[in-house]
Amino acid sequence: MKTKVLIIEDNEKNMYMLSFLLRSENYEVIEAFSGIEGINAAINNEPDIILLDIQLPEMNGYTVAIKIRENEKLKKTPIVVVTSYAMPGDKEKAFESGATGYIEKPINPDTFILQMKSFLPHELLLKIGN
Amino acid sequence: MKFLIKFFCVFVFYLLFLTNTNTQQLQRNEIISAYLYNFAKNIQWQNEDLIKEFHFLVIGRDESLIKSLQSLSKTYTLRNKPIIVSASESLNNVTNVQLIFVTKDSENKLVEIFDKIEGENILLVSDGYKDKQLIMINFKEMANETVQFEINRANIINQHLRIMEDIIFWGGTEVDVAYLYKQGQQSLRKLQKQAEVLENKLLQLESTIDLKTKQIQQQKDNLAKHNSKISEQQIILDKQSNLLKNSENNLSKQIEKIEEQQKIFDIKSQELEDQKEALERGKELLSELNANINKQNSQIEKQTKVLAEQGKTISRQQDYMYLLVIIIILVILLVFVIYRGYKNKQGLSKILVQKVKERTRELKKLNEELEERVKERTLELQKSIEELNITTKSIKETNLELVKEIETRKIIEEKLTTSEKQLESILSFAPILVYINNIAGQYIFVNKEFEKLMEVTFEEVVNKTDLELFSKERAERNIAQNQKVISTKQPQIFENASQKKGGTRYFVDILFPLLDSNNEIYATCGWSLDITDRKVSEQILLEAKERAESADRLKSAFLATMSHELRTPLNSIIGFTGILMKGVAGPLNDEQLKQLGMAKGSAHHLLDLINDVLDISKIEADQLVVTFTKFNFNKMLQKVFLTFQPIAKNKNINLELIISDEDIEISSDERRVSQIFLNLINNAVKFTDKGSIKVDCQVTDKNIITKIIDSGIGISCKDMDKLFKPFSQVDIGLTRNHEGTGLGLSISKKLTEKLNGTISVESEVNVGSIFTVILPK
Repeated sequence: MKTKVLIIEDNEKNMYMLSFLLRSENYEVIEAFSGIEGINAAINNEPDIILLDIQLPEMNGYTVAIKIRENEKLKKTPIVVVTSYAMPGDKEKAFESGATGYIEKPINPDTFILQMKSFLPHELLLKIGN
Repeated sequence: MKFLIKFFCVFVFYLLFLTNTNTQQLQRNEIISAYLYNFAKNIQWQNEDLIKEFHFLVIGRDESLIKSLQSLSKTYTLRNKPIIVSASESLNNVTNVQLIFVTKDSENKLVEIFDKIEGENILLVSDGYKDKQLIMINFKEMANETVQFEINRANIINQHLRIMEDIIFWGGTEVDVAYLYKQGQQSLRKLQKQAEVLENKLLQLESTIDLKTKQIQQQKDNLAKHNSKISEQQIILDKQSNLLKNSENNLSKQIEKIEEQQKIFDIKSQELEDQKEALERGKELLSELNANINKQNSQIEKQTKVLAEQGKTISRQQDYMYLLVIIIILVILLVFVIYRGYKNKQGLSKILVQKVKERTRELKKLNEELEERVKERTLELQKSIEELNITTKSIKETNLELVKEIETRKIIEEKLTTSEKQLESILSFAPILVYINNIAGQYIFVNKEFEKLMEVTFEEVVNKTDLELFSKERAERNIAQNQKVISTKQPQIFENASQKKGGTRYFVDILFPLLDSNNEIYATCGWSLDITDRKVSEQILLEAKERAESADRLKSAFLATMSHELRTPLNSIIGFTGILMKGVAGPLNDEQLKQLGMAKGSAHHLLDLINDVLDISKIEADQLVVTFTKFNFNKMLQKVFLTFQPIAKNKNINLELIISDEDIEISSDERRVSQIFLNLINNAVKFTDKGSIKVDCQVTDKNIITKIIDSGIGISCKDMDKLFKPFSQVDIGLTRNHEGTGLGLSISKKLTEKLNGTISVESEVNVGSIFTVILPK
């Protein structure tokens, strides 16, 4: 079984790049282009890990993270914030909202997968190894 | 036929001309309406689900535009929701709409509208507005009467609105935000300078106020000292008056004693006089006795005379009778008679003498008794005189003491008057208003400054109340403040404003109670200090501060936007070049790899630039936060050092690190410290083409001193000053050879200072440079 990654990202180009990178490494990708779409996708698909942008239409990433954490099934799902916000306090705000990890944009394709993996639970890492 | 063709041509031309002008007139309104509709289509509002209908508000009098918009709203919907168009000239209810269009004739209201809707999730569209800082979307009139528009993304994002990319494609341009930012920064700097000047002024004013307060305090102290002196003197006076009273009592007692003794003396004098009288009587008796004795003596003399006459007769008889017998008889007779006479005479004398002797003895006795008595009386008298003398002496002494006391009292009184006069002059000529009201609120003292500022004389205000002197409102205020001092018995400070000819003036009134020796209030004293100048500068400062703060908010919003907006496209550029170079999307040939590598390098350079600009902006906006934690300095420096090994090797430069093997622990911000050394070593490598670079690290008790010594091109003396300033890579000609932002040194210096360290440089052209960083441990 493939590891399921939910990407919540509104910029089509960035979405394409991340899904291409993950698919090429044999991950299953679910795409959501807005916060509400992302929350619904998370509830319906129960992904193994969620990559979350902060600047999103209608509902920002912080709120999305809080809403996802409200769902019992998604309490432990790793949420990795992938964002170009680099002002003081942005990172802290992300963790306060329930994020597990924080990767600053622009991402480095050579290391991105490794960075993301480090936030996956141990058993899942073993599964990927298989 | 010819005529017909000619007529047709004219008609067509006429038709075309008419239609053309007509369409041009209509075109602008319609185009703007269409644009507005399309803007709305390409903007996403927050929580759009909750919006039932889209409200477009036109501010201004463009009726044809309103009509055109209304007709458009009847035929079209926006994401299946109706559009409602309204027009208004007032600015009430501007916050309950989604889109506001401000017509050209209402552009003077734009600033106010912008302030009202800031952050409210409303799109503002303006027409031909010049100030690009205040626009979101603005129509531009072009020379050929076509309509174009410009967009300020930062302002739109600030409204929590989301713009679709397509908006630019149909005729829009984006405002040069960087230029705006620069302008904003310049005006911010100006404002900051103004604020600094004002702050200095305020400081000066504060120091003069402090000085004056100190003077007042000194005068207060003097006053208190004088008061205590006066009370001390009062106490002394009281004591002395008590003493005086006591000695007066003593005196009156002594006078009573003297009077008693006088009485006794009078009685004794009386007795003495009585005794004198008795003595005189005795003397009279004695003289009477003497007179008796004299009488008896004179009788004896008479008898003696008689006897002598008798003798004479006998002798004549002898002559007559010459006979001897007769004579003998006569002689015998005579002898007998003489004998008898003598015998008689002798007996009488003896009795007489005896009697006189007895009287004389009695007299002597009496005299002796008298003398004794007189002696006794005289003794008694002498005693009482002595007592009298003693009493007189003590009275004299008391008198002397009294005189002395009166003299000291006079001196004290003189001192008192002098100090009172002193006090009065101090109060009179004090550079602040001083006034004293009695408990009834009547003025009993005002000083010269009061007279000058209130334009009254002491005679005009004395014994008058505030109600008789000032307006009702002001008088009631003064009375209430005085009452507070009277009821609390404590000093009170008030800030009051008074209307004067030149405008409102502000005063600080310090009111305090004046207490008598029983600690009861008998008056209130007030000091008034004119603080109008301070108030005015405070107001100016406050306004400047508000302006600066609003500029600062704009700057912060701008920074956040820049950070995000610049990184988003870079993310896909760097990401895709990386993916391509990894060969994930398919194999590449060498030339493709080389070119992609160049693209990637440029993208990274751009990223560095953005990061540096953001860093310097954060530092300047004081938004850079450093966190102090303990870490291993050796490891950090070695890691940084290793990064440059490959480049140094490529350039054929010897790179050397001198550091002790022992772990050096430092409490600082690890990320920022490594950023400093990355910048400095990077510079050294960049500007050194031959020779060596040495990183020398020494540890002292308190600091870690790191020197980066290179044998590069060096820096001339005249360039040293601008070395640490932003955007100043020293030699402009070098920029082509030495890629960089020119921000590295400036950031390093500011970071070092933020981490409580210092950075300095020594250099010689064509010999090399030494950068020294000192960081506290």
